[in-house]
Amino acid sequence: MMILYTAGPVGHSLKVMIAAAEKGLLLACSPVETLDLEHYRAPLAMLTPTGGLPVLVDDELVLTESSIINEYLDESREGPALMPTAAQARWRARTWFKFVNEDLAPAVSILAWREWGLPALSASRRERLRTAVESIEAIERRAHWRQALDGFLPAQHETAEAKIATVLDLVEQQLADGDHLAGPAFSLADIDALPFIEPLRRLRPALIAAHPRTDTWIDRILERPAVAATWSGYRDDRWVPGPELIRWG
Amino acid sequence: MAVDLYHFEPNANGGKPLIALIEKGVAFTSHWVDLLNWEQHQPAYLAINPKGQVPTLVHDGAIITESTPMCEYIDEAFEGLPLRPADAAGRARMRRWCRYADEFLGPSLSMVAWSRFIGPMMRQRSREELDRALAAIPTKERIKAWTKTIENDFPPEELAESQRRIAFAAGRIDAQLGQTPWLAGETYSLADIIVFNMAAGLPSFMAERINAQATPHLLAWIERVGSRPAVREALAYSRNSLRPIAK
Repeated sequence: MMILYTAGPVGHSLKVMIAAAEKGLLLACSPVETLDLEHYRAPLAMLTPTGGLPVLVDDELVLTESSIINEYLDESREGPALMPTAAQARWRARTWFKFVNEDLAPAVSILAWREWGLPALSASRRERLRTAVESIEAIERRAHWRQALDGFLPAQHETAEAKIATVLDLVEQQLADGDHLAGPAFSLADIDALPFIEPLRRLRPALIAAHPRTDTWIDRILERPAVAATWSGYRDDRWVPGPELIRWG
Repeated sequence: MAVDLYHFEPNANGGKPLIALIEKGVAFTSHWVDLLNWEQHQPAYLAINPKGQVPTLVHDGAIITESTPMCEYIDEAFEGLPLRPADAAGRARMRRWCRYADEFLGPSLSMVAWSRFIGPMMRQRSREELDRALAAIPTKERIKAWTKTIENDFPPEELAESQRRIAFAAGRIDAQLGQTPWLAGETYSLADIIVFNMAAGLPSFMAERINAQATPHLLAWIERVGSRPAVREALAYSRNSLRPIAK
């Protein structure tokens, strides 16, 4: 059976859990103690050298990157197709993967960490983490965690807010053309975006209110039985520092 | 069938669809967009790509942007040499290298390249010209990047970190190519095309850390990809716009 190492039903891990549920796949989900940095130590670190979660192990194949895992599951397993069939709609779905992974996810993670993740840490746990992150091997991940524990910088918050506003405008614009992000039908694009847009209802309620089609879309996707069942384990305080904001471009 | 590609130099993002189209034998019309003279921010181009980014592919009226998803589109929409592995696992491995190029290597490489090549060129222009150009940029993000470049606002520690990442990425690519002939495994794929666009210049860009001794597999692979007829044809589109300026 395939094994999925997850950070729990939140963020990128939640995407893969939803895709598996939509396809009716049985995955052995193995939750990782992210706040104990379990994924930066052996044996898990052997599977994910940069500490990215989730990780899918399918026999000899080890995969990281949630959108890539989702396309792999869709292409290699039976069940309802989660990618459109027309080349243009498939391209559109993949542009959403890009906007979510490069822009939206790092930005929402910064806000969620400030609002929920960091305040949920006790002072003693924060101190223990400060020591523990020093043994993270990937230099850029270590620097990112240090910054997260100190609190992200005002400039990082500013960039995050701008990116969120830009992507939400794109989503709103897209939904004027149809009920789903890659065209008329539900697809992996909707699965990719939802875990990073739904929390904005609480993080930035005014922004969601200003994007009414997006607001309706959130409900439309959440109502799907497979999504609802997976989402039931979601909690705001599960957020941990996400991928870093892109450095340039 | 009409296929139009709007692009700048055949490196970084512009070279990706150019190589993919030629590899597949797709007939297309090339439209040069002069990035250094800000054509990408002119109304004619913004009508095609409102973000003012190059490249853009227009296929029978459909506007296809974002170079990496564009490459998968090219492979799916046109006949010709398949540019993705036939199995799902191979395609997943291919996509991981594409993501790595776009998210890890690419941004660091662009930062160093913009500070080294584009910045000095821009500082030879008049302030009026630069102000006019900045005012035409459609997105705040791009205004920030161009302003940073023009003002040479690159802290040394930021550039050093970018250089560290470039060398680290070169090492990872080299290690993969020590195990398999191509990045996604046994077959040439979009992963090779996309990484080649960023990696081809590395041996001259960072000769002290990326060379025949330190990264032999990477250098041999650059030769192998670069000698493919389609890649040579794509590289011939270069107008050599990004020459370093003598100090």
